[in-house]
Amino acid sequence: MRCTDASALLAVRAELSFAQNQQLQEHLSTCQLCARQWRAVQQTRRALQHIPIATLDPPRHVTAVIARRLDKQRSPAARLQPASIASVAILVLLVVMLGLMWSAAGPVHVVSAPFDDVPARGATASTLSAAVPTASAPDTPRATSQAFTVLVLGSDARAGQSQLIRTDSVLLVRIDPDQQRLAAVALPRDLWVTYPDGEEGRLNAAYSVGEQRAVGSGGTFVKQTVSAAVGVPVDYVALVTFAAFADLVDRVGGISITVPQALDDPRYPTDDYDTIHVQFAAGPQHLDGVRALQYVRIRNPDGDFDRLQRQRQVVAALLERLRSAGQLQQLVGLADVVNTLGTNVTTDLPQDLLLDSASWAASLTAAQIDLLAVEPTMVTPMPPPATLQLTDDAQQQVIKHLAGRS
Amino acid sequence: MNAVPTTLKGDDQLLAVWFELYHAALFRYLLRLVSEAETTADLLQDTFVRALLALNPAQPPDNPSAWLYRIATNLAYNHLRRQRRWRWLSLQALTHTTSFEANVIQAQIVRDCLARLRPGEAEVLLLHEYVGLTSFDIATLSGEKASTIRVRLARACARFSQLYEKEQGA
Repeated sequence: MRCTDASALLAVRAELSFAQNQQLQEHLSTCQLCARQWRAVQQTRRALQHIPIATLDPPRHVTAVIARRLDKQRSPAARLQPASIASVAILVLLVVMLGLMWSAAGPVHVVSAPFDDVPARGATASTLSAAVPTASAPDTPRATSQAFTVLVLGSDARAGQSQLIRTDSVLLVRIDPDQQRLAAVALPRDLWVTYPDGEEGRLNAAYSVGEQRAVGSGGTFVKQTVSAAVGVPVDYVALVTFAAFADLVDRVGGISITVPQALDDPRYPTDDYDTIHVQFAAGPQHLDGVRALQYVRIRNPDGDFDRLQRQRQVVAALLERLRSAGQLQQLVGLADVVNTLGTNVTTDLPQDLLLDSASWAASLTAAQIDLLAVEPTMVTPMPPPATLQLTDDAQQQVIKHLAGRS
Repeated sequence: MNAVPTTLKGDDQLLAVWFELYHAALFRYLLRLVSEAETTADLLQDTFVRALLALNPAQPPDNPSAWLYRIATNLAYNHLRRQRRWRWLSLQALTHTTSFEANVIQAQIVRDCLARLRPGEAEVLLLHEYVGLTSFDIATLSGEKASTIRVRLARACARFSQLYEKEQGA
């Protein structure tokens, strides 16, 4: 590598591939001039951090004046906002969790009927808008004022793209900044639930059923549905596409892991309900986004290395990668991550809450994340057309797990 | 509702949507740079006024937020340049320093160094380090090559660190 090339690359190392960074590192160890330039880049970065990040929201009168000037027309349906810059740290975590839990929801998948067979429903939007948000229900007090729950819905479509979104991964996450703990439960997508309007149906249809009642109300609808089904108040909802996980891995330049034993899945499911043949050789390797997603999702019929183990491995590698490169810190301010993740994540998480949690999230380790997947033994089948329900024991287990008393 | 719209009927309606999406983040970004809420409010308004003037509805920018950040960056930089002398004098007046004041001074030194960069250098440095745009994003915005942006960014770092070291020594 020549000096002119190297010095121009030093300020953009986060944009370089793993191999490029290695070449650069080699050059730095032999070239004093470039090593000096690298120190200048580092010093500039450190100095720029002396100006603290501002957390103040714009005063209302300012906003109102500018808004009038722009003659703005407020859209009443825009309840869910694309991810804000401040929310990225938390969303990164949620996306990582989702990548983890995607397959975990699989074992109890019993009905593979297409989404379209959800019966049309006749309830009016007014019944919905009159409903009280479950998060403030007085009979389920929150453990602390700080902790909150987020329902992370994984789907292959984006909000607003279609009214028929299947949320095939349903993950209830409780974040407790006081206790430095993040607990999550993967719920079966085919769980039979009662919607807020009294109708019944599958969990993975709840969002779309809500959207069909009134555009923009799917989020509230699914929150109320899960609150009632699990018995845990759901404060916020985030709709995440599976592409977000792969995007995130790619954005940090991939992850390095050691595959303990060869994996082979001749029938790996694809997004379009087909299957492909996916293999992993044993040994250390570098995975891009697509491969990382395959690694956490793959089922190995005769392998004894647990999938949950692989998922923990990937999360640890990703967190490590983010931390070592100082990238999580950098991601918090990354507008282009917002553009990438932003179009892949839709949420009603408020900005100030995310700001409070962001610094804590940046230092979170894999050990502080508690995962619980609902296993086949935790559900009982119901007579058709209903699907399955949580056993009483399982429901208690879920509640205890989220509250940290398991 | 999710994808940022880049085509709507009227250009001011388009800006209204972008305002709704980005004004809070832009406000915090500007506040970080200029540190005074009143000035920040002015610059935020200026940003959208400039955007309204500059927007060609037939050809809206691909990446509206990056586009708005670039406008805001240049307004903030111009402001820092105008304020530099005055700020520096007021800094010298602080003789007793608590750690809070020391931090304030550190931040002002950084602002001062930023103000002394060349306009193009300050722009790429801020867009890359504070906004988090990649060299490719910035290249798309300014219609230049990514390699050009990278060289400019490297120069900005070299020059900034030189200025900063001199300030620290002084």
